[in-house]
Amino acid sequence: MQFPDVVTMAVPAFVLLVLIEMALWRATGRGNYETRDAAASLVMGLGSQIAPLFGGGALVFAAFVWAYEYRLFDIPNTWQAILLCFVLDDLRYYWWHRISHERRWFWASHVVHHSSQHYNLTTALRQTWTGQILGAVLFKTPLVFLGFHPAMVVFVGGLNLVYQFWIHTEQIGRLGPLEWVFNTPSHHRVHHATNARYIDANYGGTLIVWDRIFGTFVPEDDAEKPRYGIVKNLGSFNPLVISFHEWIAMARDVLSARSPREVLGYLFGPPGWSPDGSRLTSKMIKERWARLRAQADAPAPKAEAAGDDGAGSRTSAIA
Amino acid sequence: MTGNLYLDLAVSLAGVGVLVAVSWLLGAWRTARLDAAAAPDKLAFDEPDFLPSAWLFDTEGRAAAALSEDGEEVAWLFVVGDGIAVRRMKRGAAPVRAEGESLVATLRDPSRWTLRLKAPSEAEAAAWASRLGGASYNGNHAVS
Repeated sequence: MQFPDVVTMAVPAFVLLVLIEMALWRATGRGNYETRDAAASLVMGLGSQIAPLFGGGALVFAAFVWAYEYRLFDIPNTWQAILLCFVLDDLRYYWWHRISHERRWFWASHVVHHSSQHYNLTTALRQTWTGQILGAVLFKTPLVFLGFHPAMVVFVGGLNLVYQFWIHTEQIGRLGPLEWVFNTPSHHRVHHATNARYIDANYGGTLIVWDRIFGTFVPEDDAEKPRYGIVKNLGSFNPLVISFHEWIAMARDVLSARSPREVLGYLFGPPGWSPDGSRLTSKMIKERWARLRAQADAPAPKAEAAGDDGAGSRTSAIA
Repeated sequence: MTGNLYLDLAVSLAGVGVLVAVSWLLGAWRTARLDAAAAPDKLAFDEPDFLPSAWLFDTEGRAAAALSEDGEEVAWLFVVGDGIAVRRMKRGAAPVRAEGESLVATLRDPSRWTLRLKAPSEAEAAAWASRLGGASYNGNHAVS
């Protein structure tokens, strides 16, 4: 059985759909585009296809060949096997994606995909130049070791990637019963949002059921529009900065570490970890949000309520 | 794709160029403006427990700085295309100097090493440089 290169085959459709989405944005005002942001995303996407040619692709290939040599089962290349491989690969994707958000070493690569303050189809193409090798070797090789043919594993991974393209849009609202099973634009908007209530949710690739099973599902709330990007948004559209800024920051932290524990914390702790807790992890951001919300909901003492409220104190002293 | 790496790369670059050109023609090259409305909104979203006591806005709307109520922290805001980025830090963590009417902060951020704000006057730039970065600043002073 021949397995086509579905990602390459889909590129013309990607281009056409981006053009359609841009036209819809202008016609309806729904969604958002910024030229430099879109250009950066597209260059990152192009670079992600070139990056494996610098040796990483060969390393993944070698890992796959080695694992297949010692495979546990002989799984035939049938449609049933492809379906099973696709579902298992999607489960693999869920955990790879979750770890990419929860551990800084992986986040340093994955942050690229979240670094746009926009959410449109070009954001889907904003991909890492540095993360594919380790992600593939660590998380995809077990499928090959089980007995799925390496070409099949690459094929279903490609299908998953192509599926995830169309969900990066604000043009599509909710999709009824499909929302229960599949990852949709609504679910993935939540994933890309920096609103505290939305952070670290909806990691699924094609299927959202993994988030429902493992407790990371958060629905989109019409009352709180997602605001996209990362907690500390980037100050540049330079693709080199986008690609390497977190690696640079991590290296600086490691060089400043005062103990092996700090080195490990900076490398493999959650993004935002610091020895003294002076920076914020996702958990701390959510706790801060919950605390401030509780304070806002609590009835104010009469004396204070008469003269001051939170919003007023925030803006009244603007010079 | 053709299988010829250089040809494929050229075609891909041309595709990127077309999409970028179309977005530009559709008016997507936009720049945000940081003013008394946009800056507090963004700061409140990114850093909801940062209570600003005073603001300095770049006269061209490209950046802003806020001093916290207790005078211990500074929030730097700057425009990135039509978006805004925020950096919150201890006062003095980013060296600040006045250059004529401009305030120059060295953020040491990998994506924005320095930040330049144009103050209304040289005197205000010098005063704000002292307030936001200088060790001599007394946090109890009123900031206009």
